[in-house]
Amino acid sequence: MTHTLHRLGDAKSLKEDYVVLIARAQGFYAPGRVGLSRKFPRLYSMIKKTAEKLGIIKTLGIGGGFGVTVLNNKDQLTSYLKKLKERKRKAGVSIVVSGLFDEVNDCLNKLDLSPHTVLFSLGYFGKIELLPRKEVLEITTMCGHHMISPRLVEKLASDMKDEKITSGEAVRLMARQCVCGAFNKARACKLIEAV
Amino acid sequence: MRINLEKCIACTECVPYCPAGAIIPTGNKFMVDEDRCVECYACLRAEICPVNALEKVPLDWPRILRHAFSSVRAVHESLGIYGGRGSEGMNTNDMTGRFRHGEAGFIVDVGRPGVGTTFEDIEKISMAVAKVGVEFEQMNPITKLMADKTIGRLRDDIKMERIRSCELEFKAKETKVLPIIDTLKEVSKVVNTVFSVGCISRCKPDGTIPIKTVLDEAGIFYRPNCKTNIGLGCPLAP
Repeated sequence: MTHTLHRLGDAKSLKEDYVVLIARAQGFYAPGRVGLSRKFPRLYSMIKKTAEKLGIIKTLGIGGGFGVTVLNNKDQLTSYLKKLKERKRKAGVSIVVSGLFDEVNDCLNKLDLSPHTVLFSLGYFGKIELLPRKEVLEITTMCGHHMISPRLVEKLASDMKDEKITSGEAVRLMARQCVCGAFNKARACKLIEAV
Repeated sequence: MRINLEKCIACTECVPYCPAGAIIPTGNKFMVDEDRCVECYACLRAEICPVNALEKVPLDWPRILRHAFSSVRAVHESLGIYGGRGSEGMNTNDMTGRFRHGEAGFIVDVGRPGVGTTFEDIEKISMAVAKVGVEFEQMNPITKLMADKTIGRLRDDIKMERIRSCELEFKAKETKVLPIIDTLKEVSKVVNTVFSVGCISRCKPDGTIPIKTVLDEAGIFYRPNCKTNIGLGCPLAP
């Protein structure tokens, strides 16, 4: 889930894009602490219900010990983190937020929380001339594993202009290629209009 | 992957779905360029072929590494690493204490965003940063593929394999942050791909982020969006 770090976009667009990751530490489930491992599915189930009650877009299953929630604004993020803080149990779960640092920090301050560890993106190095154009990259970087091909984005944008498909259909076809579920469909709907 | 030429009707539906651009024309049909294909199976997952002409092929060593590093759902069974392309990194640092005060972590996503890479290029980066004096993450598949971790050299038999991306993970003392960034800038001139760089900092109790100060003072660019571990995990380590 490192990849959610490198989502490209301007501040206005990124204000509508937050990814909350819950992760369990392998060491927490070492032999002798087996009882705690049973708590992770229960905790994840609780988190999923919390997200659903708050009307949050998407949550992913617990495969690999990770759960992902995609949020569209700071108010959603604050409500979600507040619930997670209230319901948090000693179940070996860390919570990580990807998004604009100042906005995330503002949420944390409101909840009397503070950053424990921060991962900064220093950007792209190397042959950046190999990258697709910025408008396409803003969409493809939301699928961190880059399973959404730039050619697919260009084709679907072209099909939209020819009125063969709607933006919603285009985004649905892109989103199903993103296996980890970190793709923000609402933001993509806005971005594809600019491609 | 391969395309069964007896089934292919040259409808071109699959072409834009390949993230590696490996589906190319051959005569009046289409084929998979074996060198470019990273065995990610994105074409197959799209379920776009109307005649089911896309077929998996058996993968032997070292080609199987393409799938292990490029398919989101693949696991590195032979390397003993399950789930993800790297370690938990900073995601669980509030529990594991992987990155301590006074240390800086780096995650170099080689091949990202969306370009792909070979192990030959990955080795150029790992050997360059090894010279600065870094500690490679043990629970990382690239580290497991190193023939000599002290100099960051990879196994010879995998060098030409192409993958979608990988994470090179390492940490060092905070004082080495700037030399490491300088090294990454230098090696970026000799690789045939792109890489994305992430830098990890353990925050101080007063909320100060030491690496942010280092980057600000050196005038080094970093994006306004980042990943923040909010410290709700209960510590396994002090």
